[in-house]
Amino acid sequence: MGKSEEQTERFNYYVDESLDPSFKDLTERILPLATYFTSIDAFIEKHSKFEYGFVSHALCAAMRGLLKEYLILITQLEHQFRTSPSFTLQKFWFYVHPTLHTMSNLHSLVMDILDAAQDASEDEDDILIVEGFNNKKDEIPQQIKGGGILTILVDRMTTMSGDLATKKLYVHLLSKASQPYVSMLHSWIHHGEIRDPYEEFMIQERKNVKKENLKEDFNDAYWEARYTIRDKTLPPFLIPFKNKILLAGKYLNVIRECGIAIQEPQQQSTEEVVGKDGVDRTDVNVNSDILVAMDGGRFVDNIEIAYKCANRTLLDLLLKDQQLIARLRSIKRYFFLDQSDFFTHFLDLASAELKKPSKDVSLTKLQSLLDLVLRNPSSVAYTDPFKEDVKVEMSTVGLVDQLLRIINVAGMMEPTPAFSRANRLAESFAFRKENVKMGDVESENEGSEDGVGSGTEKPGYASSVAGSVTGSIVSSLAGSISGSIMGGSNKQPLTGIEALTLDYIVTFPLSLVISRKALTKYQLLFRHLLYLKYIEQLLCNTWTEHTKSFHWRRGSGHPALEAWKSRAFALRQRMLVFVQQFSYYVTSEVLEPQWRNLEANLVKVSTVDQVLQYHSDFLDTCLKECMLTNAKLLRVSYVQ
Amino acid sequence: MPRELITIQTGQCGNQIGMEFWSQLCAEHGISKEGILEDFATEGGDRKDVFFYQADDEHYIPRALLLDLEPRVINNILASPYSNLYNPENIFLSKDGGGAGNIWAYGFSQAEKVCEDIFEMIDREADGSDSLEGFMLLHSIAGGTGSGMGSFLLERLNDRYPKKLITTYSVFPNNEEVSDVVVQPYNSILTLRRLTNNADCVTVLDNAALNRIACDRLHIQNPTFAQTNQLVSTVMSASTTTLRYPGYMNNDLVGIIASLIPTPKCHYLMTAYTPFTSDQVEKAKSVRKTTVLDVMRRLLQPKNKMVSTNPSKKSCYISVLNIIQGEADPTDVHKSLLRIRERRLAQFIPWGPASIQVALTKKSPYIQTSHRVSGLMLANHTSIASLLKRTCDHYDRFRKRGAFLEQFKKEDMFADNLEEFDAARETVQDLINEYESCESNDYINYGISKEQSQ
Repeated sequence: MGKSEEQTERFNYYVDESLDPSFKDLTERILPLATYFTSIDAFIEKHSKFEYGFVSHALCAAMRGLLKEYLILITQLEHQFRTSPSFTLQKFWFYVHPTLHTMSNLHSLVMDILDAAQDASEDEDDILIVEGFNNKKDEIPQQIKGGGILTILVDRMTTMSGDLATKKLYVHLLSKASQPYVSMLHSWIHHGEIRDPYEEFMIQERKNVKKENLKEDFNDAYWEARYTIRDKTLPPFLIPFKNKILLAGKYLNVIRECGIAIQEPQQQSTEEVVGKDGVDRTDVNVNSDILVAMDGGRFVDNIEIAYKCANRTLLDLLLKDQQLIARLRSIKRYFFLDQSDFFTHFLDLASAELKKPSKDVSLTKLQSLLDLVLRNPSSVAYTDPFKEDVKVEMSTVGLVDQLLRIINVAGMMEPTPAFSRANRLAESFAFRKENVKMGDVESENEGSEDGVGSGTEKPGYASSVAGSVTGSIVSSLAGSISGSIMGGSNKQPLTGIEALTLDYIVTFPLSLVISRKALTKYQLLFRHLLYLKYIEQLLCNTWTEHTKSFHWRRGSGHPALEAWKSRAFALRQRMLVFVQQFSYYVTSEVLEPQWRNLEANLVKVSTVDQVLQYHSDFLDTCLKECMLTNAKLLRVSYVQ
Repeated sequence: MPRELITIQTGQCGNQIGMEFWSQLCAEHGISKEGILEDFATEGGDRKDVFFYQADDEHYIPRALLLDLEPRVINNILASPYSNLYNPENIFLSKDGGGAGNIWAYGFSQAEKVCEDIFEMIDREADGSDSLEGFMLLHSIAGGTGSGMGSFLLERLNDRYPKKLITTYSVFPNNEEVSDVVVQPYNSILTLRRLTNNADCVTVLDNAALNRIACDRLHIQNPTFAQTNQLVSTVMSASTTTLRYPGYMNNDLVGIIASLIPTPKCHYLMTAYTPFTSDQVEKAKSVRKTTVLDVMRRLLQPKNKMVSTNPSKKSCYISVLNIIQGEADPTDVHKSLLRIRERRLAQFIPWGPASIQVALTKKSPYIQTSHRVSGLMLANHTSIASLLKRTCDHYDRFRKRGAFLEQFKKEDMFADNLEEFDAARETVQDLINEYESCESNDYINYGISKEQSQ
């Protein structure tokens, strides 16, 4: 006899040609057993190493058990061979024949796994890039551990399910091999923990994604990036549940991060009797045998129960313990100024400070003024329990600049056919913005020279607005007002009022919903409203001046002067009415209805992800309807 | 908190209206008749400090001055359940108590004599507020005290508080009936001069129209003063809801009236309110379906206006602000505005923005109303000139005959000559002309065309 091939798993034995043909035939029938045994044994040897992971170990243990039985058989046969003269090769064949089948199955399984490993190592380069890990070449590929092995097992089980004996074998192997996996799954869906030192589990945790970043980082994606599904090695029978599994664990994780004890699974399930009845198995389109093989199929219910429980716990945590809706309402009060009495007062008090260039503005002073206003017992905001969390901030970028930067990053949005009223307002609004956006526009945004160009090249926009009397008057008076108040120069840095913005302290887990990204959107809307309010206030001050001062009010007897006065009045009137109408549009036709929508949705929300979705939809719609996402409209503001 | 308003009520009419106004405000803010906040009214999302301040013992006290030259009405107030509401230091009664005898000149000169005392009160109230926004004067222009004393106060307030807004709720006499105050055309003209020159915003309430509304809309045959005053107090409280129940916008008085009054002279506003039900006026019978469109359409109907005017074909709105109270859906508002524009229900001046402004506010949570939405219209309409003209006509007829002038001549102001009358007449005529020229297209351009033609 001789050996071929170098890998122990792939040994092949062949019979010496000189053997008697009848023996040779019989031996050749038995001989594969030897190949199978060596290769299986070698496989077990190799894959029992720690780095192959728990599932591999469990599978190897199961196979070792089978091999042990096989060895016992061989020993018995050897005993027979030694003691019984009547033991023939024929008899030997007779006894090992059934085992041959099992062994051949095991062998082909082993081969499958080895092939998968080979395939995997070939495109390991891709994995390296995709996963961004500092893998070494000798790292065990994902495909032959954990979920990968289970996938192979399940695949083979399904393809061979016609053969009862084979199926039984695979059911056995699968139930053994999946045990560590199931227990991992269990600890994930019931505790939100991953005990996965060998990266076998379907969920991947990135420890470097920290929840603290949520408050700081604009683009932080804790919720999306901290836990992800390893789609490549996801066992197929878990595919229908993958999202529920991911979410269940994710939710629990959040709860645990908040320092709240998570209930034991027994408690969960007893409480969830109702939920258990509600488990809907119809959408589970998976071979039930596989599920039975895994943990006796109980895990399907478990997933469902765990998901519901985790979902409900986190939802309760957010909506009840953390008072999400009340929080949002309070944010709305400060950022959307829905009861803006406090803010009028604040602007009155801080007007001197806010006229300074933003770098000279004392934040502490503004903060104390804001606190003063909010704590005034006669303010409507006085009853708000969260008023301590509002902070004054100075932005370094003008609103339009910031918006343009965001739009440029996000890709130009096509101007949507908004309804005519919005468009009409938008066009004139652009003119207002031109002048409101005093200061740094030019200096800060030298790079957007082409933006300026494209703005001027829009004759449609410019002429339609400028053509109308209102438009031209609005722009000219706005220019004079902003000129007189803002110092007239476009090269100046931001003034306090332009830079003023609010911030809001959000703690985990609310920061999942009200992330930095969301807060920034709130801030954009706030600054938009602030500008509107500020301009309205300026115009109202002008009105008071016109009404109260003797020279404006009394007739002078000079018709030319009187005519000039009434033109000024008419102009101020048009501007004021426009600003008020626009504010009305933004607040009463956009923000308030959208907010009511959100509130209604949040009441009947059933999953945490829905909460996130509704909230971000709400903000995006608000921004869009307030015409803050349309680069064309914003760019018009650069036309001088 | 900021933007307080001090209410000055003078004369019989002013004090009667004031009484209704304060009882309405108390009800809306959940303040008891003694000025104590009711238990249920702790979190209404309202701002009481525009009109009230808190005394040391947590009592809410109206920022109100009650002034009269005769004690009858104020004594009635002091005998009412609301007697403890007001600050007794803020009540001024003339020492002789004789009243003004319905003579403007007497009221004016009386006020001049007690000017020190009154301004001591006003200054005290003004010092007590963080950032006073302005004054609200309640008076009638026909009687003696309200018109005379009111005129005096208007003049002096402007000198004393040159930057504060002065708004008035002025009740105009019923020109259609023979009045018991024979000299009311004189009183009216003289007061109108001060209203034109010294007030920043005059809300005109016309007794004739109030009676008409009480009869036609509420089916009350002979409305009492109390009932018409309830109409007035409803209008006053509705026009201040945005101040008292802060929303996104219109949280200060100037924001509301600035867009209504484009040119300083044309500051006479007319109002309409709908629906009036027994909620506001006792024994009124009228419950209708209320939708936003219904309300906004009805507000534009002349029969709901609280001023009797004879609009000409050229008459038009200078500006309109509709304050919609209650659960109004912004899309309904938008639709209604479109409908109103399509049907051309409102004609606007040709030289200004032709739009109805809308303010949405909450209703008081403490008052149950049978209707979902109610609305108040504040409008600057050129037809107010016809009301002024009528007053002028009456005055001219009297003046031509020189009737009833003796009473006036008793006072220093008129002792030597009657120039004061002529000046007042001229001011009112100027105002009428101003309103009429507002109707023309070239109102803002007439200077230019003149220059070009020269």
